[in-house]
Amino acid sequence: MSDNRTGPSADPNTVTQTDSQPDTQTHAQPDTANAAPQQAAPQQQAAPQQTAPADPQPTARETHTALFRAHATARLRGDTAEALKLAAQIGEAQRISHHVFLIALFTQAVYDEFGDRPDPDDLAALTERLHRRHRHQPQRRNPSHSDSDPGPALAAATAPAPGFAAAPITGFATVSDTDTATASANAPGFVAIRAEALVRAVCGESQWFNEIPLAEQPGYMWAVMNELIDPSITDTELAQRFSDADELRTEIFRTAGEAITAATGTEESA
Amino acid sequence: MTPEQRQREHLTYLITGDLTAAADLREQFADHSRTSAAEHVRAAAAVCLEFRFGPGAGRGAGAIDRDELAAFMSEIRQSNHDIKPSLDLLAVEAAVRSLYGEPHLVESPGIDVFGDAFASAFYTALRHQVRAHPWLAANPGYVVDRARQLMMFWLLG
Repeated sequence: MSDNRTGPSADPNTVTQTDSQPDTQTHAQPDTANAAPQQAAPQQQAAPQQTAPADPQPTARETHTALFRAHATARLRGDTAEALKLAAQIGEAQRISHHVFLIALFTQAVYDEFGDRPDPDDLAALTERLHRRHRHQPQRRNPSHSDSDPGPALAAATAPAPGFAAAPITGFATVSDTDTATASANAPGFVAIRAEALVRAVCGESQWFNEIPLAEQPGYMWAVMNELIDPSITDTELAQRFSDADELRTEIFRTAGEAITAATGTEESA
Repeated sequence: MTPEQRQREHLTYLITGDLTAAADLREQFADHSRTSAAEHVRAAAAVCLEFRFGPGAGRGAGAIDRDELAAFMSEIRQSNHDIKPSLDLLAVEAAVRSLYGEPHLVESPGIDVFGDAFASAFYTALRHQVRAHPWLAANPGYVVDRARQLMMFWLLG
Protein backbone atom coordinates (compact mmCIF):
# COMPACT_ATOMS: atom_id res chain seq x y z
CA MET A 1 0.00 0.00 0.00
CA SER A 2 1.45 3.32 0.82
CA ASP A 3 4.29 2.49 3.09
CA ASN A 4 6.76 4.63 1.36
CA ARG A 5 9.57 3.79 3.74
CA THR A 6 9.60 0.13 2.98
CA GLY A 7 13.02 -0.96 1.87
CA PRO A 8 13.90 -2.08 -1.63
CA SER A 9 12.67 -5.61 -1.53
CA ALA A 10 11.00 -6.13 -4.86
CA ASP A 11 12.14 -8.57 -7.44
CA PRO A 12 13.14 -6.37 -10.36
CA ASN A 13 11.83 -8.89 -12.82
CA THR A 14 8.47 -8.70 -11.17
CA VAL A 15 8.49 -4.97 -11.33
CA THR A 16 9.28 -4.86 -14.99
CA GLN A 17 7.58 -7.91 -16.34
CA THR A 18 4.66 -5.98 -17.71
CA ASP A 19 6.57 -3.03 -18.92
CA SER A 20 6.72 -2.50 -22.62
CA GLN A 21 10.11 -0.88 -22.57
CA PRO A 22 12.62 -3.41 -23.87
CA ASP A 23 15.59 -2.44 -21.74
CA THR A 24 14.02 -2.65 -18.32
CA GLN A 25 14.26 -6.41 -17.91
CA THR A 26 17.92 -6.30 -17.15
CA HIS A 27 18.40 -3.61 -14.60
CA ALA A 28 15.25 -2.16 -13.09
CA GLN A 29 15.81 -1.41 -9.43
CA PRO A 30 12.99 0.97 -8.62
CA ASP A 31 14.28 2.01 -5.25
CA THR A 32 17.66 2.93 -6.62
CA ALA A 33 15.98 5.36 -8.90
CA ASN A 34 16.99 8.33 -6.85
CA ALA A 35 20.62 7.47 -7.31
CA ALA A 36 22.41 8.70 -10.39
CA PRO A 37 21.61 6.42 -13.31
CA GLN A 38 25.25 5.40 -13.74
CA GLN A 39 25.25 4.00 -10.21
CA ALA A 40 22.25 1.81 -10.71
CA ALA A 41 23.90 -1.17 -12.37
CA PRO A 42 27.65 -0.86 -12.21
CA GLN A 43 28.24 -4.42 -13.35
CA GLN A 44 27.14 -3.48 -16.81
CA GLN A 45 29.73 -0.74 -17.03
CA ALA A 46 32.48 -3.34 -16.76
CA ALA A 47 31.73 -4.71 -20.20
CA PRO A 48 34.73 -4.70 -22.56
CA GLN A 49 35.09 -1.45 -24.42
CA GLN A 50 35.56 -3.13 -27.77
CA THR A 51 32.19 -4.83 -27.75
CA ALA A 52 29.02 -3.15 -28.78
CA PRO A 53 28.05 -0.53 -26.24
CA ALA A 54 25.68 -1.71 -23.59
CA ASP A 55 22.14 -0.50 -23.68
CA PRO A 56 21.92 2.90 -22.10
CA GLN A 57 20.93 2.90 -18.50
CA PRO A 58 17.33 3.81 -17.91
CA THR A 59 16.71 7.26 -16.69
CA ALA A 60 15.09 7.70 -13.32
CA ARG A 61 11.90 8.65 -15.13
CA GLU A 62 11.97 5.42 -17.14
CA THR A 63 12.56 3.37 -14.02
CA HIS A 64 9.73 5.08 -12.21
CA THR A 65 7.48 4.63 -15.19
CA ALA A 66 8.25 0.92 -15.24
CA LEU A 67 7.27 0.68 -11.59
CA PHE A 68 4.12 2.76 -12.09
CA ARG A 69 3.09 0.60 -15.03
CA ALA A 70 3.71 -2.63 -13.17
CA HIS A 71 1.67 -1.36 -10.26
CA ALA A 72 -1.12 -0.20 -12.56
CA THR A 73 -1.12 -3.56 -14.29
CA ALA A 74 -1.59 -5.33 -10.97
CA ARG A 75 -4.36 -2.98 -9.93
CA LEU A 76 -6.23 -3.16 -13.20
CA ARG A 77 -6.02 -6.95 -13.23
CA GLY A 78 -7.11 -7.32 -9.65
CA ASP A 79 -3.83 -8.69 -8.29
CA THR A 80 -4.09 -7.22 -4.82
CA ALA A 81 -0.95 -8.73 -3.34
CA GLU A 82 1.22 -7.60 -6.21
CA ALA A 83 -0.36 -4.14 -6.20
CA LEU A 84 0.33 -3.73 -2.50
CA LYS A 85 3.92 -4.87 -2.90
CA LEU A 86 4.60 -2.51 -5.77
CA ALA A 87 2.76 0.40 -4.16
CA ALA A 88 5.10 0.07 -1.20
CA GLN A 89 8.01 0.79 -3.51
CA ILE A 90 6.61 4.08 -4.73
CA GLY A 91 8.48 6.46 -2.51
CA GLU A 92 7.63 9.89 -1.26
CA ALA A 93 9.92 11.42 -3.87
CA GLN A 94 7.85 9.84 -6.63
CA ARG A 95 4.49 10.76 -5.13
CA ILE A 96 3.71 13.69 -7.39
CA SER A 97 5.13 11.95 -10.44
CA HIS A 98 2.94 8.95 -9.71
CA HIS A 99 -0.06 11.20 -9.26
CA VAL A 100 0.51 12.74 -12.67
CA PHE A 101 0.92 9.25 -14.15
CA LEU A 102 -2.37 8.27 -12.56
CA ILE A 103 -4.18 11.33 -13.83
CA ALA A 104 -2.94 10.61 -17.35
CA LEU A 105 -3.97 6.95 -17.19
CA PHE A 106 -7.30 7.92 -15.64
CA THR A 107 -7.93 10.60 -18.22
CA GLN A 108 -7.18 8.19 -21.03
CA ALA A 109 -9.63 5.67 -19.58
CA VAL A 110 -12.30 8.34 -19.23
CA TYR A 111 -11.81 9.62 -22.78
CA ASP A 112 -11.93 6.07 -24.14
CA GLU A 113 -15.24 5.45 -22.44
CA PHE A 114 -17.00 8.78 -22.56
CA GLY A 115 -15.05 11.11 -24.82
CA ASP A 116 -13.94 14.45 -23.50
CA ARG A 117 -17.50 15.72 -23.06
CA PRO A 118 -19.36 13.01 -21.17
CA ASP A 119 -23.12 12.82 -21.26
CA PRO A 120 -24.29 13.78 -17.74
CA ASP A 121 -26.75 10.91 -17.75
CA ASP A 122 -23.94 8.46 -18.53
CA LEU A 123 -21.93 9.92 -15.67
CA ALA A 124 -24.91 9.70 -13.33
CA ALA A 125 -25.25 6.02 -14.24
CA LEU A 126 -21.55 5.48 -13.57
CA THR A 127 -21.88 7.25 -10.23
CA GLU A 128 -24.77 5.05 -9.20
CA ARG A 129 -22.87 1.89 -10.21
CA LEU A 130 -19.88 3.02 -8.19
CA HIS A 131 -22.10 3.78 -5.23
CA ARG A 132 -23.72 0.34 -5.36
CA ARG A 133 -20.35 -1.36 -5.62
CA HIS A 134 -18.54 0.56 -2.90
CA ARG A 135 -21.32 1.69 -0.58
CA HIS A 136 -20.32 -0.66 2.22
CA GLN A 137 -16.75 0.41 2.39
CA PRO A 138 -15.90 1.55 5.86
CA GLN A 139 -14.86 4.89 7.07
CA ARG A 140 -11.12 5.27 7.47
CA ARG A 141 -10.06 4.83 11.05
CA ASN A 142 -6.29 5.23 11.04
CA PRO A 143 -5.50 8.15 8.81
CA SER A 144 -2.21 8.92 10.52
CA HIS A 145 -0.53 5.58 9.84
CA SER A 146 1.96 6.88 7.39
CA ASP A 147 4.54 4.43 8.69
CA SER A 148 2.43 1.34 8.55
CA ASP A 149 0.31 -0.48 6.10
CA PRO A 150 -3.19 0.92 6.54
CA GLY A 151 -4.71 -2.08 4.85
CA PRO A 152 -4.38 -4.47 7.78
CA ALA A 153 -5.07 -1.64 10.20
CA LEU A 154 -8.33 -0.92 8.49
CA ALA A 155 -9.19 -4.57 8.22
CA ALA A 156 -8.72 -4.96 11.95
CA ALA A 157 -10.57 -1.81 12.84
CA THR A 158 -13.62 -2.38 10.76
CA ALA A 159 -16.05 -5.12 10.07
CA PRO A 160 -16.09 -5.67 6.32
CA ALA A 161 -19.47 -5.89 4.71
CA PRO A 162 -20.32 -9.09 2.84
CA GLY A 163 -18.37 -9.23 -0.35
CA PHE A 164 -15.88 -6.63 0.72
CA ALA A 165 -13.08 -8.98 1.64
CA ALA A 166 -13.74 -11.12 -1.39
CA ALA A 167 -12.96 -8.34 -3.82
CA PRO A 168 -10.53 -6.01 -2.08
CA ILE A 169 -8.81 -4.87 -5.24
CA THR A 170 -11.79 -2.78 -6.17
CA GLY A 171 -11.89 -1.50 -2.64
CA PHE A 172 -11.34 2.12 -1.95
CA ALA A 173 -10.10 2.38 1.59
CA THR A 174 -7.97 -0.72 1.69
CA VAL A 175 -5.99 -0.26 -1.50
CA SER A 176 -5.83 3.43 -1.98
CA ASP A 177 -2.04 3.33 -2.11
CA THR A 178 -1.12 6.88 -1.49
CA ASP A 179 -3.71 8.16 0.86
CA THR A 180 -2.49 7.59 4.35
CA ALA A 181 -0.65 10.63 5.50
CA THR A 182 -3.05 13.44 4.99
CA ALA A 183 -6.49 11.93 5.00
CA SER A 184 -8.88 13.67 7.30
CA ALA A 185 -9.72 11.92 10.51
CA ASN A 186 -13.33 12.42 9.56
CA ALA A 187 -12.90 11.23 6.00
CA PRO A 188 -16.01 9.42 4.95
CA GLY A 189 -16.19 6.12 3.19
CA PHE A 190 -16.67 5.97 -0.53
CA VAL A 191 -18.58 9.04 -1.72
CA ALA A 192 -19.49 8.26 -5.30
CA ILE A 193 -20.04 11.84 -6.36
CA ARG A 194 -16.37 12.50 -5.68
CA ALA A 195 -15.45 9.86 -8.25
CA GLU A 196 -17.81 11.51 -10.70
CA ALA A 197 -16.30 14.89 -9.91
CA LEU A 198 -12.83 13.63 -10.85
CA VAL A 199 -14.19 12.41 -14.18
CA ARG A 200 -15.67 15.83 -14.78
CA ALA A 201 -12.45 17.43 -13.58
CA VAL A 202 -10.48 15.90 -16.46
CA CYS A 203 -13.23 16.84 -18.89
CA GLY A 204 -13.08 20.58 -18.51
CA GLU A 205 -14.41 21.14 -14.98
CA SER A 206 -11.00 21.27 -13.35
CA GLN A 207 -12.34 23.19 -10.36
CA TRP A 208 -13.52 19.88 -8.92
CA PHE A 209 -9.91 18.84 -8.31
CA ASN A 210 -9.92 21.40 -5.52
CA GLU A 211 -12.94 19.84 -3.85
CA ILE A 212 -11.36 16.44 -3.23
CA PRO A 213 -8.35 16.03 -0.94
CA LEU A 214 -5.28 15.06 -2.95
CA ALA A 215 -4.78 12.01 -0.77
CA GLU A 216 -8.22 10.69 -1.68
CA GLN A 217 -7.94 11.19 -5.42
CA PRO A 218 -5.98 8.02 -6.27
CA GLY A 219 -8.58 5.81 -4.60
CA TYR A 220 -11.39 7.36 -6.58
CA MET A 221 -9.45 7.23 -9.84
CA TRP A 222 -8.70 3.53 -9.36
CA ALA A 223 -12.35 2.87 -8.54
CA VAL A 224 -13.40 4.48 -11.83
CA MET A 225 -10.71 2.69 -13.84
CA ASN A 226 -11.63 -0.64 -12.29
CA GLU A 227 -15.22 0.05 -13.31
CA LEU A 228 -14.32 0.94 -16.88
CA ILE A 229 -11.50 -1.49 -17.67
CA ASP A 230 -12.02 -5.23 -17.83
CA PRO A 231 -9.57 -7.01 -15.51
CA SER A 232 -8.84 -9.53 -18.26
CA ILE A 233 -7.20 -6.77 -20.29
CA THR A 234 -4.39 -8.17 -22.46
CA ASP A 235 -0.75 -7.14 -22.44
CA THR A 236 -1.19 -5.54 -25.84
CA GLU A 237 -4.18 -3.51 -24.70
CA LEU A 238 -2.37 -2.46 -21.57
CA ALA A 239 0.70 -1.42 -23.55
CA GLN A 240 -1.51 0.73 -25.77
CA ARG A 241 -3.18 2.34 -22.77
CA PHE A 242 0.18 3.08 -21.18
CA SER A 243 1.51 4.49 -24.41
CA ASP A 244 -1.52 6.72 -24.87
CA ALA A 245 -1.36 7.81 -21.24
CA ASP A 246 2.34 8.59 -21.59
CA GLU A 247 1.63 10.86 -24.53
CA LEU A 248 -0.99 12.57 -22.46
CA ARG A 249 1.41 12.87 -19.53
CA THR A 250 4.01 14.46 -21.77
CA GLU A 251 1.37 16.88 -22.98
CA ILE A 252 0.42 17.70 -19.40
CA PHE A 253 4.04 18.53 -18.55
CA ARG A 254 4.49 20.52 -21.76
CA THR A 255 1.35 22.54 -21.12
CA ALA A 256 2.28 23.10 -17.49
CA GLY A 257 5.79 24.16 -18.53
CA GLU A 258 4.43 26.65 -21.01
CA ALA A 259 2.04 28.00 -18.41
CA ILE A 260 4.85 28.43 -15.89
CA THR A 261 7.05 30.07 -18.50
CA ALA A 262 4.26 32.38 -19.50
CA ALA A 263 3.53 33.26 -15.88
CA THR A 264 7.21 33.82 -15.14
CA GLY A 265 7.56 36.00 -18.20
CA THR A 266 4.58 38.01 -17.14
CA GLU A 267 6.04 38.52 -13.67
CA GLU A 268 9.43 39.50 -15.02
CA SER A 269 8.00 41.98 -17.44
CA ALA A 270 5.72 43.47 -14.84
CA MET B 1 -43.80 24.27 23.74
CA THR B 2 -44.40 20.88 22.15
CA PRO B 3 -41.65 19.14 20.15
CA GLU B 4 -43.54 19.91 16.96
CA GLN B 5 -43.83 23.59 17.84
CA ARG B 6 -40.14 23.70 18.68
CA GLN B 7 -39.25 22.16 15.32
CA ARG B 8 -41.51 24.58 13.48
CA GLU B 9 -39.98 27.50 15.30
CA HIS B 10 -36.45 26.29 14.65
CA LEU B 11 -37.10 25.86 10.95
CA THR B 12 -38.77 29.27 10.80
CA TYR B 13 -35.66 30.85 12.28
CA LEU B 14 -33.52 29.14 9.64
CA ILE B 15 -35.78 30.25 6.80
CA THR B 16 -35.87 33.83 7.97
CA GLY B 17 -32.13 33.86 8.59
CA ASP B 18 -32.19 34.27 12.37
CA LEU B 19 -29.33 31.86 12.96
CA THR B 20 -28.63 32.98 16.51
CA ALA B 21 -32.16 32.21 17.61
CA ALA B 22 -32.01 28.87 15.80
CA ALA B 23 -28.75 27.99 17.53
CA ASP B 24 -30.17 28.96 20.93
CA LEU B 25 -33.17 26.76 20.31
CA ARG B 26 -31.01 23.83 19.22
CA GLU B 27 -29.32 23.97 22.61
CA GLN B 28 -32.55 22.56 23.99
CA PHE B 29 -32.71 19.72 21.49
CA ALA B 30 -32.10 16.12 22.42
CA ASP B 31 -30.27 13.97 19.87
CA HIS B 32 -33.44 12.69 18.25
CA SER B 33 -34.69 16.26 17.94
CA ARG B 34 -31.49 17.22 16.12
CA THR B 35 -32.09 14.38 13.70
CA SER B 36 -35.63 15.56 13.19
CA ALA B 37 -34.39 19.13 12.70
CA ALA B 38 -32.02 17.92 9.96
CA GLU B 39 -34.88 16.18 8.22
CA HIS B 40 -36.96 19.34 8.48
CA VAL B 41 -34.14 21.21 6.76
CA ARG B 42 -33.96 18.60 3.99
CA ALA B 43 -37.70 18.82 3.43
CA ALA B 44 -37.68 22.62 3.48
CA ALA B 45 -34.82 22.63 1.00
CA ALA B 46 -36.88 20.41 -1.29
CA VAL B 47 -39.81 22.81 -1.07
CA CYS B 48 -37.61 25.80 -1.88
CA LEU B 49 -35.68 24.06 -4.65
CA GLU B 50 -38.91 23.38 -6.52
CA PHE B 51 -38.96 27.10 -7.26
CA ARG B 52 -35.77 26.59 -9.23
CA PHE B 53 -35.82 23.05 -10.57
CA GLY B 54 -39.50 22.25 -10.83
CA PRO B 55 -42.04 20.23 -8.83
CA GLY B 56 -41.61 16.81 -7.31
CA ALA B 57 -38.41 17.39 -5.34
CA GLY B 58 -37.99 14.49 -2.92
CA ARG B 59 -41.21 12.87 -4.09
CA GLY B 60 -40.56 11.28 -7.43
CA ALA B 61 -39.17 14.05 -9.60
CA GLY B 62 -37.04 12.87 -12.51
CA ALA B 63 -33.53 13.89 -13.42
CA ILE B 64 -32.57 17.46 -12.81
CA ASP B 65 -31.91 19.94 -15.63
CA ARG B 66 -28.12 19.80 -15.82
CA ASP B 67 -27.64 23.26 -17.26
CA GLU B 68 -29.79 24.77 -14.56
CA LEU B 69 -27.90 22.79 -11.94
CA ALA B 70 -24.58 24.02 -13.30
CA ALA B 71 -25.85 27.60 -13.10
CA PHE B 72 -27.12 27.03 -9.57
CA MET B 73 -23.80 25.57 -8.46
CA SER B 74 -21.93 28.45 -10.03
CA GLU B 75 -24.05 30.86 -8.01
CA ILE B 76 -23.43 28.87 -4.84
CA ARG B 77 -19.71 28.89 -5.53
CA GLN B 78 -19.69 32.64 -6.11
CA SER B 79 -21.71 33.51 -3.04
CA ASN B 80 -19.70 31.28 -0.71
CA HIS B 81 -16.17 31.70 -2.00
CA ASP B 82 -15.01 33.56 1.11
CA ILE B 83 -16.67 31.24 3.63
CA LYS B 84 -14.29 29.52 6.06
CA PRO B 85 -14.12 26.60 6.39
CA SER B 86 -14.82 26.29 2.73
CA LEU B 87 -18.12 24.88 1.66
CA ASP B 88 -18.33 21.27 0.50
CA LEU B 89 -19.69 22.05 -2.94
CA LEU B 90 -19.92 18.42 -3.93
CA ALA B 91 -22.11 17.77 -0.90
CA VAL B 92 -24.37 20.62 -2.01
CA GLU B 93 -24.65 19.19 -5.51
CA ALA B 94 -25.27 15.73 -4.09
CA ALA B 95 -27.98 17.13 -1.81
CA VAL B 96 -29.78 18.86 -4.66
CA ARG B 97 -29.53 15.93 -7.06
CA SER B 98 -30.65 13.54 -4.33
CA LEU B 99 -34.03 15.25 -4.43
CA TYR B 100 -34.26 14.80 -8.19
CA GLY B 101 -33.95 11.11 -8.91
CA GLU B 102 -30.58 10.32 -7.34
CA PRO B 103 -31.31 9.61 -3.66
CA HIS B 104 -28.26 7.35 -3.40
CA LEU B 105 -26.01 10.40 -3.51
CA VAL B 106 -26.70 11.06 0.16
CA GLU B 107 -26.52 7.46 1.26
CA SER B 108 -22.78 7.21 1.64
CA PRO B 109 -21.44 5.74 4.84
CA GLY B 110 -19.74 8.26 7.04
CA ILE B 111 -21.86 11.17 5.88
CA ASP B 112 -25.48 10.21 5.95
CA VAL B 113 -28.36 12.48 5.24
CA PHE B 114 -28.66 13.46 8.88
CA GLY B 115 -24.97 14.06 9.35
CA ASP B 116 -23.53 17.50 9.68
CA ALA B 117 -22.08 17.57 6.16
CA PHE B 118 -25.34 17.00 4.35
CA ALA B 119 -27.47 18.93 6.82
CA SER B 120 -25.19 21.85 6.07
CA ALA B 121 -25.42 21.17 2.35
CA PHE B 122 -29.22 21.12 2.37
CA TYR B 123 -29.26 24.30 4.41
CA THR B 124 -26.90 25.97 1.95
CA ALA B 125 -29.32 25.17 -0.87
CA LEU B 126 -32.26 26.35 1.22
CA ARG B 127 -30.57 29.62 2.12
CA HIS B 128 -29.63 30.29 -1.50
CA GLN B 129 -33.22 29.81 -2.59
CA VAL B 130 -34.58 32.00 0.19
CA ARG B 131 -32.24 34.79 -0.85
CA ALA B 132 -33.24 34.39 -4.48
CA HIS B 133 -36.95 34.38 -3.59
CA PRO B 134 -37.62 36.83 -0.73
CA TRP B 135 -41.23 35.78 -0.76
CA LEU B 136 -40.16 32.52 0.87
CA ALA B 137 -38.53 34.32 3.79
CA ALA B 138 -41.61 36.51 4.11
CA ASN B 139 -43.86 33.46 4.27
CA PRO B 140 -41.99 30.88 6.34
CA GLY B 141 -45.25 29.30 7.47
CA TYR B 142 -45.90 28.18 3.91
CA VAL B 143 -42.49 26.55 3.66
CA VAL B 144 -42.79 24.89 7.07
CA ASP B 145 -46.26 23.50 6.31
CA ARG B 146 -45.19 22.08 2.98
CA ALA B 147 -42.00 20.70 4.45
CA ARG B 148 -43.93 18.83 7.09
CA GLN B 149 -46.31 17.49 4.44
CA LEU B 150 -43.32 16.20 2.54
CA MET B 151 -41.92 14.58 5.68
CA MET B 152 -45.26 12.86 6.16
CA PHE B 153 -45.01 11.60 2.58
CA TRP B 154 -41.54 10.23 3.29
CA LEU B 155 -42.84 8.54 6.40
CA LEU B 156 -46.00 7.04 5.00
CA GLY B 157 -45.32 6.91 1.30
